[in-house]
Amino acid sequence: MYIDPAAGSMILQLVGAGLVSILAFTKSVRRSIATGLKSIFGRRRAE
Amino acid sequence: MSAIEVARGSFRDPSGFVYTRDGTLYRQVNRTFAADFDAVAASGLFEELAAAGLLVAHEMESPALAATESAHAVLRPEKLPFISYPYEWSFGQLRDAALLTLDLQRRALERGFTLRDASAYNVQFRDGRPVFIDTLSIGRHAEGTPWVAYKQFCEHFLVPLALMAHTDVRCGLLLRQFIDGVPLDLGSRLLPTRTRLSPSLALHVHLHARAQRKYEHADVQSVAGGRRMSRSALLNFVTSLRDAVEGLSWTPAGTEWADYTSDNNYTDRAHEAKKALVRDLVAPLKPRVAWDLGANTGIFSRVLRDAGVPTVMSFDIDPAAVERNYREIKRSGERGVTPLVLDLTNPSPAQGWAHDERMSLANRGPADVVIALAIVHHLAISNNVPLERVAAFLARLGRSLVIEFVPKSDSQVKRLLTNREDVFPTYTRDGFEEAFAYHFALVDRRPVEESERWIYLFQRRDPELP
Repeated sequence: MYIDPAAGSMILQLVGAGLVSILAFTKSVRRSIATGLKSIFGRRRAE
Repeated sequence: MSAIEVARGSFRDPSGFVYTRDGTLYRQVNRTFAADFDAVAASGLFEELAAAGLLVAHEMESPALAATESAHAVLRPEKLPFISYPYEWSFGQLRDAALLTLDLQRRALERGFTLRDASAYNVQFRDGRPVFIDTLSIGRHAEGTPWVAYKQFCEHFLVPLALMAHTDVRCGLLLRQFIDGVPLDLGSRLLPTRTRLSPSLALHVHLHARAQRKYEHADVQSVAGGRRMSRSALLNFVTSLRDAVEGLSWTPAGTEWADYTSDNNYTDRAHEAKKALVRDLVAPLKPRVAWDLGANTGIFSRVLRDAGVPTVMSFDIDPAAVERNYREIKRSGERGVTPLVLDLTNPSPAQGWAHDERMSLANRGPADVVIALAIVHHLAISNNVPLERVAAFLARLGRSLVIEFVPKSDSQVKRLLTNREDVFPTYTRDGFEEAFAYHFALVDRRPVEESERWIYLFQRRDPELP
């Protein structure tokens, strides 16, 4: 359906995209570290 | 001459509409949307989404079946047995519908397409699971542009979910008033101050509301300084919205009805006997669609399903009971039962443009069979609805009716009358049968073992009722 794009929403996305991308990157780094730590300590516990 | 009827809510989208022709459901794609539709169809995205159970499947049909001359293509989508609305969904259902919408947007973006709108009405519950129904919502994505439906997604999903999680679960009913979503500014005002500390709610609700207020009539390109939004940035935005939705939770606990099944006056034997009785009365009718009114967590809905009813709508007034019902469906993977929130004393009305955009509950019937167990005393005594009016309304909802009469001697009725004057002299078995006799023919009646309750099977007298 064709809807009103809502100027404020479009501007917020364009302006906030950088911030959201940084947050997403930080989150993925945090997840990778957590997964790495889990695999290291998980392996040690299994040994 | 073929009888063509355009679906009531299908008039806002110039790209196409849904209609029935001789009882078969079709979706017409108008020529104005031809390039988008053909591009999505050629990509195989429709098939991919349908195979994953995310989108209703459709067959291409002959253009000769079109409803108007503006047709580019005609589709025959799967017809769903019941249309429900977001204000009838529990918290978990609205949350899953939101996640489905975001999943579709992510898959569409990865293929160079986008959801052109994010209305909660694009989602329906089939077999208890959410499925996207608006095939024409998917169109081509213009590189560099933001998501046009971002505000609509927030107002249809994120704001009501945040209000249900952080303020009160009954805020979900705001969707009944605001059928195009709960306004961002209202949501921002109603949410507790602490939600401003949540990065996702601060961005997608509070800041969003401020941006919308400040830039409502602004020229986007001049304010944004010619910025463009890459597809990866858009995908990050979708992920951020997903995190916001997944971060919201609500635990159903402690309401009167959600605890009812473990807190009623039936012995185990009487409960099992009642199940067998309901099964024996319903099975010979071979109904395709049953409505279980006052279903609580859906125990008798499952009795109906197990008795061979393919579609059971499991209604209850209590959002906690409906949520538990829904969670059980998700946990067990069972099919056939769809729970919905419904206050029978104030059922969903016909509303929207010209009172005709969203159907009333009665307009979505009649069901082949309605079951109304342990609710007649609540309608007649707690809500002062005369038995004749209970009968008249139930006759509009179903062709057959299985209903339980709970006498005044029953402890549950005694409880209702504890602190109020008994002004219900006709609330007796005789009075009940007399009240129902005008609208229904009595087919069978049986006592429930080890209780003073009776279960009746009625057939409505007027087959012409809608």
